[in-house]
Order: sequence, then C-alpha cells, then structure tokens
Amino acid sequence: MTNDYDIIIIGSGVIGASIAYYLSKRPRQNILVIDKGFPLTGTSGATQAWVFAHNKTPGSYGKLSMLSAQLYPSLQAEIGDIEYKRTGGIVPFFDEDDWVKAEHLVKEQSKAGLDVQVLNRTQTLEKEPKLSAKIKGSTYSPIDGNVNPFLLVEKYVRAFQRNDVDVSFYNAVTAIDHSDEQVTVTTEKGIFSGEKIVFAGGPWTEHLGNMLDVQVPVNLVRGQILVTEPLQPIITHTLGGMRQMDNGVVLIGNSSEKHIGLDRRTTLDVIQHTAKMGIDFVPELKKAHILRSFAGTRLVPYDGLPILGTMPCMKNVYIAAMHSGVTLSPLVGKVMSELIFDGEASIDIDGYDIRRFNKIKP
Amino acid sequence: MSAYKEKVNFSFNDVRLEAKEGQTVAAALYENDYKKLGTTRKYQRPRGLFCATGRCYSCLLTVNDQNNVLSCMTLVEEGMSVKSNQS
Amino acid sequence: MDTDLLIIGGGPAGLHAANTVGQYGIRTVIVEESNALGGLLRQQVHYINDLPREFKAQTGQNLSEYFIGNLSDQCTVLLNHIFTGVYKDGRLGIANQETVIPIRAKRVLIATGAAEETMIFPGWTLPGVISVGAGQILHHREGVLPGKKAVILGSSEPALSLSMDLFDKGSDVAIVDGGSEISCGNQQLLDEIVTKNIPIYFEAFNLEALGTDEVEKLVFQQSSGNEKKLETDVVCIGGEYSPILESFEILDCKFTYAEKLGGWLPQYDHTLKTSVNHVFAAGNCAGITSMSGILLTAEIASLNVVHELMNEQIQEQVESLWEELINIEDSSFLPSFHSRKDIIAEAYT
Ligand SMILES: Cc1cc2nc3c(=O)[nH]c(=O)nc-3n(C[C@H](O)[C@H](O)[C@H](O)COP(=O)(O)OP(=O)(O)OC[C@H]3O[C@@H](n4cnc5c(N)ncnc54)[C@H](O)[C@@H]3O)c2cc1C
Ligand SMILES: Cc1cc2nc3c(=O)[nH]c(=O)nc-3n(C[C@H](O)[C@H](O)[C@H](O)COP(=O)(O)OP(=O)(O)OC[C@H]3O[C@@H](n4cnc5c(N)ncnc54)[C@H](O)[C@@H]3O)c2cc1C
Ligand code: FES
Repeated sequence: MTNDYDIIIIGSGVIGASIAYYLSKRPRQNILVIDKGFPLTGTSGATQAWVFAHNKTPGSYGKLSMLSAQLYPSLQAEIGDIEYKRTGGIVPFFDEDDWVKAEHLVKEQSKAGLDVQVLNRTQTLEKEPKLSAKIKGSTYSPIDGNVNPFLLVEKYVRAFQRNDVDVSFYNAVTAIDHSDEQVTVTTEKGIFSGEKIVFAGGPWTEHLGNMLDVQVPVNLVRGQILVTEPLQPIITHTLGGMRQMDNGVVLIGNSSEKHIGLDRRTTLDVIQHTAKMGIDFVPELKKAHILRSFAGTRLVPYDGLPILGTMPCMKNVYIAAMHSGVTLSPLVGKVMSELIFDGEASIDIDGYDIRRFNKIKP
Repeated sequence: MSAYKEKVNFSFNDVRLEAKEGQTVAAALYENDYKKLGTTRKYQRPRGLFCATGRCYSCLLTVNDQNNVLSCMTLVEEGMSVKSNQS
Repeated sequence: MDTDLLIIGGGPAGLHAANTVGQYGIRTVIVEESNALGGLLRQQVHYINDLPREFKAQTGQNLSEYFIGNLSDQCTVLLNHIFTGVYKDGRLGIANQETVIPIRAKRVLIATGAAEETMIFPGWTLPGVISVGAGQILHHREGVLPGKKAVILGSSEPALSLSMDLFDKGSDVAIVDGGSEISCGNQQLLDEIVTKNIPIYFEAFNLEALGTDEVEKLVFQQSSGNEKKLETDVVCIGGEYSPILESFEILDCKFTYAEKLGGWLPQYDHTLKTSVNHVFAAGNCAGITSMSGILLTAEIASLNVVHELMNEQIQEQVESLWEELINIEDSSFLPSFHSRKDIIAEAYT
C-alpha cells in the first residue's frame, strides 16, 4: 500500500461504500477507503433500510429518492443479491383529518413524477389484510421497498475491492491538513495524502468538519428499533413503521429523539411505546416475541435535506451527509462519483450544496 | 432419585408421552428418545437440545400453541401439547 | 416496586450476597431467569472442597439448599424473570412472559454467571451433540442419562467429571482432546480415569460429527495420520466459559480485556464496584472462577453495599475476605489473581 492516493474516502457506511463503488468503475485511479471501525459499525448497521420515496418532502428531494429507488434493480444485478424488494410502501393514518394532508401529498408528489395514491380503508386492507381495521386510510406508492443493509454494504465493499480500491479499517482519522493541491490525512495507523478527499462520516461528519474548522449544520437524532422473532409472512409491504425481512423477523420503529448525541443505547420507555405502535398497526403482532432492540444515530441537516458537494472554500474536499442514506445510496454514489471524476453531476444537485446554510438560522 | 417422582402426561407432535414431575420439556423429550426437536427454517437441518440453560436457542418448540418457547427452560405440565416449531 | 439492592442472577454469588445483606435488614430482590434458584450448583452433586473458611465441604446441591433456606423475609425472589432494559428515569425493567415490572433500586449487583462456549466443527449442530454442562444438567438435575456411548470432547475438570459419572452409570465413554495433555488439574479425578481405563485420544483434529437426524459417529484424525471413527449416541463438548455480560452492557458499564480471565470483563475496583456508581459485580460474570472466589467476591461486594446504604463499618471484614481470596488464588489460581490485580489497577487510573 502506498500512502499517496488520488481519492481518499473517510467512512465506509452505505454512503462512503457506494461512492467508492461508483468511483471504482471509472478508469484507473488510486482510491483508499478509511473507517474507524468496520463498514457496518455506524448508522448503516443500525437502520430499518427502507428504500422509501413517497413520504419525502415533495419536489426535488422526493424525486431524488425516487430516482435512487429506480437504480436499485440494476445495482442488484451488478453487485449481487442484496435482498432488494420493491414491495410498495404504505403509510396508514388513523385520523379523519389526515385525508386532506394525504390528498395534498399525492398532488405535490405527482408534480415531480412520483406515483402516490390515497387508499381508503378497504383498499388498504385489500393490500395488507393484517393491518388494523381501525385505520382510516393510507398513502401508497409502488416505488417503495426495502433492502438488507448488511448485504448491501458488504456487496459494495466486495465490489470496490475487486476493482482494486484499498481499505484501511479499524483506523480513525484524527487530523486533516488541506491545501489546494493536496490533502493530508492523519490516522491512527499513519499519514496518507490524497488529491481529493470525501467526507462520508455519517453522524461523525460534524467532527470531521471541525478538523478543517468548518461547522457542518446537522443535528443528531436517535432511533430505536425492535426486532421480533422470525414469524410467518405477516406483512408484504413496507409500512411506515415496520417491515418484515426475508428471514421472517419484523423490524418495528419510528421513534426519533433529539439531544442525545451519539448515545446508542435503547430505553424501555421508547421500546414499549414502539411495541404498542406495532400492535396498533398490526394487532396480530401482540403474540410475537421480541428478540432484541437496537438504536442508531441519524444525522439530520438543519433543513432536513441532504448535503452533497464540496466544502466551502475547498475545491478538493467533498461531503455527502444525509439521513435516509440507504434510500439514497445508489444515486448519491453515482452523482458524487460524477462530481468528483467529471467535475459535474448528471442531475442538478446545486440545491444540496452546504453553502445554502449561510442563509439559514438553525 | 427419579423413581419417587410423580408421572406427568404430555404429547409431542401428537404422540402421548410420560415425563417426571419437575422435568423440563427438553429433558423429558430426550428421555423419551426424541433428540431431534425440529428443523431450521432455511436449510431444514435437524436441531435439538444443546446448552440446557436457555442461551443457545437450539431447543425452540411450540408449547400449547405458543411458538418459539425455550423447551429447556420450561417445565412439563400435565396435558401439555408440545410440537415442533412450524417453519 | 422499590428495593435497596437488586440482584441479577440467583446462583451462588447472588444467593450469598442476598444472605449477607439480609443480616443487616437490607431489602433485596433477586431476579432469576430460570425456574429455580441455585444456578450451576443445581447440578453439582460432588463435594466442593474449595469453599471459604465459613463453610464446610459439601455438595453444590446442599450448598444451594442451605443458601435458599437462609434467605430473609426481606428478600423477594422473582423466578422466570429477566432483566431486559432500563427506563429513562433509571428504573430497571424486569420482564416475565406477560409484562415488564419497573423496579427502582438503590444498588444493583450483577451476578449473571458465565456461559459455555462451543467448539465449531462439521456436524456440531446435530441433535445429540450437547455441551458438557447440558450433559451434567440432564444427568444430575433431570435424571436422564445423556447416552450409552458417550464421547467427551476436551479434558477440563467438568469434562472429566462427567466422563466419570457416565462411566459409573455403565455407559461406554471415550475422551477426545485436541491438545497433547490433560488440562484438568484435579489429580484425584485423573487417577480415577486412568484406573478405570477410560480411553483418551490426544491431538485429535479435523473432528466431524456424522448422522442423519441425530449424531451416530464422531470421526477425527490423529497425529499418527490415522483416521478414527467412534460410534456414539451423545457427544459432549467441553468448551471454555465466557462471562455473561448483557446486564453490564444495558447498564452502560465499562469493559476491559483480560485474556487470562476469559476475555472481555466489566471493569471494577477493590469494592467490586463497576464504572457505574450504583452497580456492583461478583462471581463468574466478573471473571472469578473458583467457588471460593465466587462466594468471597459476592460477600465483599455486598458488604460494600451495606457500607454505602447503612454506613456500617465493614473495613476489617472486607480486608480479611480479600486476604483469604488472595491466599486461595495465590496457591492455585495465580494467573487469574494477577490479571485481576491488573483490572483493579486499571479501574483506579
Ligand atoms: C436493517 C436492519 C438493521 C439491523 N440492525 C441491527 C442492530 O443494529 N443490532 C442488532 O442487534 N440487530 C440488528 N438487526 C437485526 C439483525 O437481524 C441481526 O443483527 C443479525 O443480522 C441477525 O443475526 P443472527 O445470526 O442472530 O440471525 P437471526 O437469524 O436473526 O437469528 C435470530 C436467532 O434467534 C433465534 N430465535 C429464533 N426465534 C427465537 C425466539 N422466538 N426467541 C429467541 N430466539 C429466537 C434463532 O434461532 C436465531 O439463532 C438489524 C436487522 C436489519 C434488517
Ligand atoms: C433507527 C434508524 C432507522 C433508519 N431507517 C432508514 C430507512 O428505513 N431508510 C433509509 O434510507 N435510511 C434510514 N436510516 C438512515 C440511514 O441508516 C443512514 O442515513 C445511513 O446508514 C447513513 O450512512 P452513512 O454511510 O452516511 O453513515 P454511517 O453508516 O454511520 O457510516 C459512517 C462511517 O464513517 C466512519 N467514520 C466516522 N468518523 C470517522 C473517522 N474520524 N475516521 C474514520 N472513519 C470514520 C464510521 O466508522 C462509519 O462507519 C435510519 C437510521 C436510523 C438510526
Ligand atoms: S438448549 Fe440451549 S436454549 Fe435450550
């Protein structure tokens, strides 16, 4: 392993791994991926992994999610089985007042070409018979689905390693020095230099930014998830709140807690609340055993939208930081590789530049 | 010591069996010569008692219609219906 | 529910701790995941010689009964209950099949013991391949003979002890070990194995268990190059033990790596207090393996709880317990003693 690279990617979660994969398809370059743990120790190993577009902010962001979902089948053909399933997504509601909101969402999403429908109770129960009869209706989109995040990240990593990308795992970046020609990255295991570097540090992105005296405007939001025992097939769609994996386990959770930092413990308060939510949605889950619970830390930019592009005043330091990174990973990998390699992305991502926050107050 | 214990009737996959009072379901089945308790869902491999302390999850059975019960941690009761897990 | 001391695990460490604090009128709750108290003592039919001064040599089952008989009426026992998590306000969640009981405890003692590890080889998951501990439980607790043609893997003390017991019940027994010598230090047991002509195959490798629905044969290579095939109806794996750590994780205790004590362990200081102020550790889960060490650490931890809750002077007692522990370990458990000193030193820095 030499210490000089064309591109160094910091972070090998679903985002860093996808960027490395798409870059590795380009003509010969030296790429290094560094991670302080192994590729699933961050948020990508503690996620629901829905590939979900229909409830994202309508407009450009909803469309981005849809385009990413559309890339999944071909990605699966390229890197191997990642248990991607386009199950269709259902977000049920229990309140009559939500009809108006649902109709509005459908109208807005259709402007961006996203197929979302409002279903009444009967239509919803036809699609998903085990849902509670107490629901009033739902929004539905055929584009939504889910993926196995463990397989996804593993297959990205295997694919980019086949394409000669170097890795340095269990190695934390501790300092970064930047000049216009070169970036020097100090790690626990030595110093590396690169022409370009990419921040894909997930919830630790703020910390990476501090190394260059740039404040990355993000909040950290904890989510807790319940894992049931393997059950007979009980739900077939990705529901806003739960999904069933191929091995039969149902993952339940839609909690979000702010001001917790990087604490990834679970609390019984949220776990019990989540279990109740699960039973409210699908009463039959009452009988299921819970095998375990886990928590993950979402990074959420102040305005909720992804941060994609270069760092302020630095042409050769790139950043890709967002929530819903599993949904967005193929598209983000693709457009970031275009930006880094060609100097321009094939779709307009100017609205996601970090410089937009100069105008926003937290 | 076992000779003084009361007998308990139970069934495994609809076969009527006897156990000693105070025995766990897994041990009672072992004594009745049922080492194989079920099969794994993906590869259909046989599984039976392994640790006897509730930690390995190799002995899961359906007991009185409840799925995935740790049979090495559950005492046999009169009339209990025990079945291999539906997979 | 409120209590002074919540004890997680009703084995010898947890029971002895409950009795120690019971003498001072401290309210305790013991949470035990199985359907009976006693832990590993429940299948201990042999005399335990290695006990602290205050006890005479006796079988594990007797000792267990003695502890249970001495529990005070200030002690609540929750069988078939598991510690599963904590609430935001610090209460501990104790679950049974129906519900989760929140318990507010001034102090917590974790005494969850250790679990057997396995050996991985083709066929190890076949029915009839069980752990040595499971063999002991079947035989001594459940009154079930594990097999008539037993193969025991490994030559630790529990493995040899089970070999003897099965042999005495008329079973054919063979011992298969990957190493080149016996790992059990109990000479008396060894002599018995030799006297009874129980075959031991050393330096066995490439183990494989064969059978359709249950184990029928164990095949392995010997250093001579020969392949050996043993007909069998039960294979007992004598693996190492590793401390059960979930409760420490849930309570956010810090860990340390101590190779000689079994790997990852909770950090604790000379009062057996972990890195979390109200949480103590004792017994197997703290990397203590000798029975006397298990009981002494339980007593040290609980006396410190008494000191913190009632301001009792316990200094002298604790010092003499440490002295006894050091004397015992100094003679027969030297390596563990030194690593323990390292843990405690680390906790201090
Ligand atoms: C998106 C996603 C994110 C996840 N993130 C995490 C995470 O961060 N942390 C985490 O711990 N898990 C997480 N999981 C759950 C995930 O299933 C496990 O982490 C892991 O992949 C399962 O490995 P396993 O080998 O234990 O297999 P599994 O097949 O899931 O095994 C479960 C085990 O439990 C046993 N079992 C079956 N039924 C029962 C029962 N009724 N009662 C008790 N045991 C039973 C089985 O025999 C088996 O041994 C996540 C899952 C997904 C899909
Ligand atoms: C409970 C929960 C549910 C979720 N559900 C979904 C969902 O259904 N669908 C969806 O699309 N998204 C979901 N998300 C969000 C999604 O999981 C994340 O957006 C995504 O995993 C982020 O990937 P990442 O690569 O940016 O971050 P990470 O996976 O956290 O990767 C960052 C990596 O950077 C490394 N790193 C950080 N700092 C350093 C350093 N100094 N040196 C070296 N390496 C470093 C870390 O070790 C880590 O491996 C969920 C999140 C949570 C918490
Ligand atoms: S045999 Fe291991 S859990 Fe029952």
